[in-house]
Amino acid sequence: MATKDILKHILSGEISATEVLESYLKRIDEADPETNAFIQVLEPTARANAARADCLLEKGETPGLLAGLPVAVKDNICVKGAGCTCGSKMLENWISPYDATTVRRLREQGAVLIGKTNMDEFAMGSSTETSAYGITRNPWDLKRVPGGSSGGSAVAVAAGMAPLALGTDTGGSIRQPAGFTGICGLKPSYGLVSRFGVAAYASSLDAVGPLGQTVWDCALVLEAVAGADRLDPTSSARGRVAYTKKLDGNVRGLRVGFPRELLQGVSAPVKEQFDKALSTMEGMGIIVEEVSIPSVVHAVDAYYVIAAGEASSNLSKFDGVRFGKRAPAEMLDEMYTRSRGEGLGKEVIRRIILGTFVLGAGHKEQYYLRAAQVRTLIKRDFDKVFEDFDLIVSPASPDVAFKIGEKIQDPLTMYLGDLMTIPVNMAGLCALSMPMGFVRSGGLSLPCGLQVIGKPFDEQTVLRVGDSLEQEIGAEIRQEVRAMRRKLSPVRECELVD
Amino acid sequence: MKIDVKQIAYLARLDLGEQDQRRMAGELETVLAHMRNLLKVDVEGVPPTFTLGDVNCLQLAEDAPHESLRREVVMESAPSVLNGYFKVPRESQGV
Repeated sequence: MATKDILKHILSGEISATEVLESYLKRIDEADPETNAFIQVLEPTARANAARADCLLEKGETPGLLAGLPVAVKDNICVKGAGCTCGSKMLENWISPYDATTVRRLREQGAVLIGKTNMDEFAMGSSTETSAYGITRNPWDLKRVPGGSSGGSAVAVAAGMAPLALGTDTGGSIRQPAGFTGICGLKPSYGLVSRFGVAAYASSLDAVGPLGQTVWDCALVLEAVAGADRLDPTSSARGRVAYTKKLDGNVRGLRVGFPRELLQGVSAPVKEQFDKALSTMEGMGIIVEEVSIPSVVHAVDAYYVIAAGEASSNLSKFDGVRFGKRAPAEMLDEMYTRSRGEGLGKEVIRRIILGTFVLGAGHKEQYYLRAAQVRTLIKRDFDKVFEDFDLIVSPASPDVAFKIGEKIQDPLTMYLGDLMTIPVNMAGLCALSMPMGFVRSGGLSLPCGLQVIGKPFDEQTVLRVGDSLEQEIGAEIRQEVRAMRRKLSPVRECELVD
Repeated sequence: MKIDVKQIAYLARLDLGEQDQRRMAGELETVLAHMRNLLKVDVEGVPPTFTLGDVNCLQLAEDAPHESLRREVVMESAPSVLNGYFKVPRESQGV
């Protein structure tokens, strides 16, 4: 059942929030052992949230925009009273004493916080293979990765274990897993959604955003969590928009550009699906043209310099003093080095070393400063295209989900797979990833995502076009999702997640 | 380029065994070789971008006290506490 319909049934009293929650908890019991999407299921919290929503509804009061809908939360976003491991041994036993602003807003809008989802350690990864809590598996093929770093949130939605989820996106960590698992995910403009209470990876790039089965789902969650926050000094003071009300299908005459540089290295079957999506858009009255954004070919290099540099600084707080893992040691320096060496995983250490190197004396100008200058060029190139175009589109990834273990030993290949998504973070833009079709091979049907990029703070146009395109191609996607869920684990006694 | 991973690991306060240092040196050399492509880009006169705040719509926080976490709550997360302070091992042998 679509999230929109579940919400309608809750509001009309046909079904209670508690009944909805119990259906999803049952589905987690069935599908999570196969996929490992959750680090922690928050049963008591979720039951209390659902009971509160039901109580308000019984009294005739409105429980908020999300009115009893379960939401899964990536495990780098703080939920008061729950663990927040960031996928790391470093924070194995840490309990958050406060809510992130996004979580507080979810609660205020009546959401049911169903669980904390698995992720690449400290959001550093593109496959959810670097978590200290095991690999998350792609429900379309359990031998494949779900993408990352928000792989747990994406799989929770794709496999029907939660209708909605929150993730974070520093270089594509919402959009790439959304594409790999056949769902929708939105990376909001830099500053639209508060990062207070979210473990920082690279502060000039990090964003918190929604994942859902449909574009409408993303619009609903964005509406609930967006807006100024005095606890995040980078948050924009722009007013909140009723995004779900803006999905009016009015797309005729919009101009959409597809950059030739973002099609380099795209596999033939994904390119075929992309071309089909472009034709569908043209059929909807959208003007589609090829454009050039020359500087994006340098985006991956510049990104990994900047992100690693910022990460090396942000993660210095994990030193065994105030919270997190502390290794036994006689001397202070030994305590720092051992706590960090034992608590942090390989990929995190790799990026801290890289970041410390590029910020070091003698290297800063050659790497960090130059990367920041290239970032200016990327931003200028996007600005220029946006003078003539309303949106930019590309595939969300060069190929479908890769096999578990295929890239984990080769960091450079893993990094280069993020070419499509990274430029959006570098330029502070917003972008939606939505399913555009399937690549079929060897009896498998694997989803591939379309990325719709918008100007800063123009989420409305991105969501409107995404929603209209979904009306055209969504039927096939829904059918495939239903078949995948049944194959993964029979959907019993629960029409909601079918 | 030879990267002194041992020295960098010390600066970042990371305990890395010799085998890990060797492996990481090789991986970093490959990654940095790719990143040196940035040197080919003409950035003459281009200012750096360090952040992307919504410059026209940022607001200064009101200069007023507000509720924060209580000290006892914060200290609950600490691995070791003495008289309400974070307790750590001594800094040097001689003190």
